Amino acid sequence: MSFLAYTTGIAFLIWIILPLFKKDSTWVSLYMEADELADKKKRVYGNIADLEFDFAMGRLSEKDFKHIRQAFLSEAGRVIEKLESQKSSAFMDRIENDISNLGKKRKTKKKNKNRSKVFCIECGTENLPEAKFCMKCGKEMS
Amino acid sequence: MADLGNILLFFLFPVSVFTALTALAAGITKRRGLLEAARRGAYAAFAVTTLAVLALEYLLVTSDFSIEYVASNTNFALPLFYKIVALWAGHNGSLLLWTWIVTIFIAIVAYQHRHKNNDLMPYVLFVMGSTMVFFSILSVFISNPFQTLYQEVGNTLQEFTARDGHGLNPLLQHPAMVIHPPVLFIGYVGSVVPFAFAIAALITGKLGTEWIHTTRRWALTTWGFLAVGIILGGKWAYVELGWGGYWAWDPVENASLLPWLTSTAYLHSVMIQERKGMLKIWNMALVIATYLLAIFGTFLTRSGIVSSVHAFANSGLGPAFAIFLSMGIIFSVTLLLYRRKDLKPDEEMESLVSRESGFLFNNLLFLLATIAVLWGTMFPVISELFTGDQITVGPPWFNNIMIPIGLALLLLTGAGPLLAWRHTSVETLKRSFGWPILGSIIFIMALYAFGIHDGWALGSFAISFFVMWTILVEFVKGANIRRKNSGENFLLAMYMLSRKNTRRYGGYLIHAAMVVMFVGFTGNAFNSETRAEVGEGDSFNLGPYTFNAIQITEAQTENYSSQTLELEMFRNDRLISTISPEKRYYFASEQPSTEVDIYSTLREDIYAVLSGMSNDGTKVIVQVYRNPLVNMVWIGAFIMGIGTLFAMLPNLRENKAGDK
Repeated sequence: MSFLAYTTGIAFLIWIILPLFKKDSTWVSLYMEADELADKKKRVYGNIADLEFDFAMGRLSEKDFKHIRQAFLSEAGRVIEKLESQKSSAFMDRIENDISNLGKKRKTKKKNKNRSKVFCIECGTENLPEAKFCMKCGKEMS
Repeated sequence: MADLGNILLFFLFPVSVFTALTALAAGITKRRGLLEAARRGAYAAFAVTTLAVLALEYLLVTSDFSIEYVASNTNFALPLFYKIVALWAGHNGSLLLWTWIVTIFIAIVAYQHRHKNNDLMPYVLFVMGSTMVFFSILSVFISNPFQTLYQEVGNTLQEFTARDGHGLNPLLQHPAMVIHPPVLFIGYVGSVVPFAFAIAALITGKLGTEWIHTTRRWALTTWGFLAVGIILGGKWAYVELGWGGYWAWDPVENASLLPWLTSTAYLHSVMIQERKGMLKIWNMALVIATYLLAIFGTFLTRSGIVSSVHAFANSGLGPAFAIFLSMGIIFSVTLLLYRRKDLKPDEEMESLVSRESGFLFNNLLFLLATIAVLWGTMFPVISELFTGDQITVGPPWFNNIMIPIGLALLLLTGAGPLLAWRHTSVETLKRSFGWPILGSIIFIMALYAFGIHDGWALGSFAISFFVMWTILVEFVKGANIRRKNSGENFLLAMYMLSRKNTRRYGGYLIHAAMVVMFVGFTGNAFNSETRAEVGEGDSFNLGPYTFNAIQITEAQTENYSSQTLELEMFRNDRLISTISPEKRYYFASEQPSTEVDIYSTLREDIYAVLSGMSNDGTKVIVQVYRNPLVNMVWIGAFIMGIGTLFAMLPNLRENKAGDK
């Protein structure tokens, strides 16, 4: 009985430790300022929904309702404007990151001489991993 | 099997340490491999503990009395059912159950987030893993349930097998035993999940609402389990302990109430953070406090620091818990102080008469309640520190403080939802409060005319009426508005309305449940009781009821001997029912136990206890309580459970016309 327990235990240990020996990648933290803005956007939208509900339920006067709603709308406008400009700069960062990762991948793949297969999402044709467009239908490869 | 259990448990310690450390390393290096290893560590901890629990169950069911835990909590004659649940009847076993639930939760969280929240997850697993390390130390090294029995032979200790076990404490031989401890434990342990995410947010600086959204359902589930667990405990005490009530402000009861109070406060104040970006530090503090109070509650029950009906006798865990608790407090407070600049509010309060200020008052009251209960519970310890004597504050002290706080909270339950966010004008205040207030005044005048003159009770009924009215208006008005816009019939409109915002309407349902429960609590103001020594043929009165003692019978089973009194109950000369309170004597544990009999209606409970024999041995002593409205408490609790489940449903999304 205890022999069985020991073997299972050791098998378990090996299974747990295995990922430590894998050649692995690191992850990149997501862009935090964009998170914050997305939070803000969600909040303003939630506030507007609540305000409209409160007004419908007769909890605030029409004057207050119009006044507060206007304030929320302009706040939403500001947040979205900021978000858009952040997004484009975040995209630039992401693209830079992707490009540098692409270089790495290409190197390791060449070393292994073991190319993974890539398929077009439009027509399903197999393409080269580094292809930018599908060789059959011309759809951009993601 | 005991060896196997021991080996399994022994694995838990290194696996937990491994999980916590690799998770921490993953957080620092952001390496996927480390995070995956930590995740597997979590799964392994769960697997190992599950097998250990099964091993202990095997020992319990097969009555292996060479194991100390099995011998002191079960015996041969114990029904199989109770042998199984004896897993959580004693200190060591219930600690293993605690540990098991921790590993279940860490495995669930690790699995749920295997593809997301990479930034938070390492620290989440680190915090949960550390909790697991602590409990594995307790289970493996201090309170091991697989400990064998020893006896001294000359100068050496020898293992031996007891001929029969000591049996299960008679008070625990009740169906509620199956459900109350695990439910409460899930409530306690569940608080580790929001705590872990909060700490992870503090460490990574990702302090937005992401951690709140991620843990919303966990916080609510934990809250619900705690609430249901507490009430089940009350129900159990009511039907089993035989003192006529369900809540006595006992330290262990208080210990479960404390995290419930802070997590209720959190569920409310978090809405201010979501809507206004305020109270960020406060919400963090509440989540941290809930977790620490849950640990503190476990500490209180098991350290022997305060005496209580159901505290485990001094188990030697005190110092370990004290160290873990202080580490938790220092760690979280330091982190909170370190991040205080990033937790500044985004907006300011605009008006004192608004929904957010309602929530603020609510939190203030919950804070007061928490401090009061904590103070009253710890008073014996504090007084011993300064005066050398343990001075206990009794239920009257708690009632004097908690009844006003409770009523104020109940009032807010009704008033808060009538206030608009940001600002409510006097005009709208008059419109929303006028009718409900008038209605409540008329209602209590009617009650007064019917003969209810107790001030607190009248106040409580008035507030209950007011709150119920406002909740009904919320549903009806909301449904009417929807019906006008959508053309659905009224019931469908009400259903669709509440399914589209389950948190809001589930919350209202829970509020309504609280009202029903408060009506039940208020019934305590009208309790009455009587005590009589009766022989066969004697009779006595309580209020409008007359009781005739018909016969006293004695019986014996394998497990216990018993004495039963059969009482006929008359109201205005009409036979209503027969009730038969019973007293048992359990052979194995050599302990007596009372089996109360309750005649229960919506209006009141007639609760009879057979206390024992009279001094001359010719008569039996019976105690009868008349407890009005007790059933409201259980009905309210049931509605609360439904409300909690409803609030957990995902919101229904409607496709607008034209959308595909």
